[in-house]
Order: sequence, then C-alpha cells, then structure tokens
Amino acid sequence: MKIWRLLDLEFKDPYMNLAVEEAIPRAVGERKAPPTLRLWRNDKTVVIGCFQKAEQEVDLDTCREMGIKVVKRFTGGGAVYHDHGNLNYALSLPKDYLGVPQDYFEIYRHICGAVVLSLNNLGVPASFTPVNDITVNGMKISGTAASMRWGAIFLHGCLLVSTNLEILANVLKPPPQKFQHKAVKSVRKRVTNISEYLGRKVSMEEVKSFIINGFSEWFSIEFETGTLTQYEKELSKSLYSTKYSRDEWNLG
Amino acid sequence: MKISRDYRSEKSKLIRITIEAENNKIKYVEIHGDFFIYPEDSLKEIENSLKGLTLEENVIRQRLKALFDKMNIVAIGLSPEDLTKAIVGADS
Repeated sequence: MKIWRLLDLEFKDPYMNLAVEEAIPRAVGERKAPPTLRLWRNDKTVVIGCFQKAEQEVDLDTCREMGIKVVKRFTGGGAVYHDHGNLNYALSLPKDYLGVPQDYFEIYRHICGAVVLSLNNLGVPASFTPVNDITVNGMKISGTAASMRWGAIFLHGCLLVSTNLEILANVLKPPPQKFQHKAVKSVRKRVTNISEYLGRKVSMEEVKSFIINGFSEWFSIEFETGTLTQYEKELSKSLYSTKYSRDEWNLG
Repeated sequence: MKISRDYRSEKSKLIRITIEAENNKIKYVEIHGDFFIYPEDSLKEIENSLKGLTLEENVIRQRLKALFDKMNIVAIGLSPEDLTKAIVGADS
C-alpha cells in the first residue's frame, strides 16, 4: 500500500496559509516531499482567484469594517469566503503519478471523485458537476481549482461544513446588472453546507475523518500524519514575504 | 482613457476587460475574471500580444486563435471567441 502524507496544518494568518498552499506542490513537484493531502481552515477571509482583481470583486471597505482579510490564491476561478466552518483540502501529487490523468478536465473529475465519495459516505448525496464543482440537489457544496505546475498535479477546494453563508453575499460585489438574469438570484440560494443539508451540527473532526478515509479508499493509499519539511518551511516563509503578504499580489 | 467592459456568454465565465485604445489601436489591456487558463502565465502573454493591434474583431480573433494554438492553451470559461467579443465590447 502506498503511503501519502497527511498534513493537518493551519495558521491564524491567511497569508501564511496561502504561502504554505503553494510551497507544498512546489516541493512535491521537485520530489522533495511525498504526495500530500493538506486539510486546513482560514478564519474570516475572502480568497480570490489569481486572475481576479480584488477591487472588482470584493467590497473592500466592508471587509475592512468586518475584519475580513482578502488574499489571492495561485489558482484561477472565483472568490470564496472562508471561516472556521469551511474545510479546505489540497492534494499535491508528482506530475506523472500513476493512474492520475494529465488532462485538466479529467483531473477535476478524478480528484473530485474522492471528495464526492467522502461526502456520500457521510450521508450527503453529493455529485460532481463539471467542470469543477461538487453539488448536492443542484446547490454548490464545494468548489475546486486545479493546476499543473512545478512538476506537480495540484487540486484544492473548499468544503462548506457550517460556514456562515450570509457573509459571502455581503462582501462580494454583485455581478454587473446586465448579467444578473443569467444567474440564479443570489449567491446565498446557490450554495449549501453540510450541516444545513443534514439538519444537524456536524463537527469539523467528523468531516475531516470522512475526507481522509474517502481519499484513502478512492486512491487505494494510506495516510501517515506528517509535518512540513525544512525545505517547505523555508519556501513558505519566502513566499509569504515576497508574495502572499503583499498588496501588489493580493490587490493587484 | 482606460475603459472597463464586462462580458459573459452562456459558455463563458465573467470576463472583465480594462482597455485603452488610441486611433483604434490597443494601447493597453488587462484581462480579469473567474475563468481558468492553463498555463497560467499565458494570460500575461495574451495581454502583451494584443498591444498595438487594431481594435477590430477579425484581427483580434485571429491573433488569439494563433496564440491559443501556439501555447497549447487550455481554458475554462475563456474561449478565443468569447475573449475577442469581450475585448471589442460586443454584446453578450
């Protein structure tokens, strides 16, 4: 049985969380770290896609008033709101990892399969909605973003466990008026979370254990809990100071 | 003067263009949105390659299609066609 590293690792500082998020696939791609699943959370943070411009998407004044930080990630896609009721999962594999597709559309389908299985095992009848969403009854419960860079295949996503779903709608700017007819009326109605769906309070630890077991089953591997390597720690610090803690990156 | 335009079609994500043209030539263009484009660095190359081009649908479409082919670009929610329309300010 193959052994992958499990990193249950989060920081209070969202900039550091995103710096570590980039350091891991870089290290895995350089074969300086094993295949890794990281589980982590951010508190009160808007995370925007790397092709978005913060001022176009986010009400920065409201964020400031509410103590919400805005951070840009290194993958594309749209803005998401993180709080402690949201679980982030991030899988980093070496590029030529056996059995993992090399085509973007198939990477999404394949890796999201592990999340869908985990949710199904938990009693949530979630399914994969191409290209990159996981939904239950047509409502989004997890969004994902993938990248193949630095010799790695990387996919991360956020899973709504008991997130305050009202806040995202309050801090995101509404889409331009002329496109509003194309979307379902509000962000709030298009998303759900696990607790809301199951009608009971689901603990983060419970969800984590289902994700860990679901990934093990899907990929036929075993996890060993690990820590960041020295190389990853140094890389994270450097990415923090040169990129993720800087306005040029987050707001530029 | 820089102007901003938003574009979205049934198949595209929201594409947000900031553009400055002079004598119908593109002087500056920035492309933002919630799409995915691979390799990620290709977006900057696209922006750079549009500078100096005539702001005309056929010219831009041709340049973008050539660039997407040359760089083996894979994009989700940002086809050359949608991007062309977003840049020239066509109706969604």
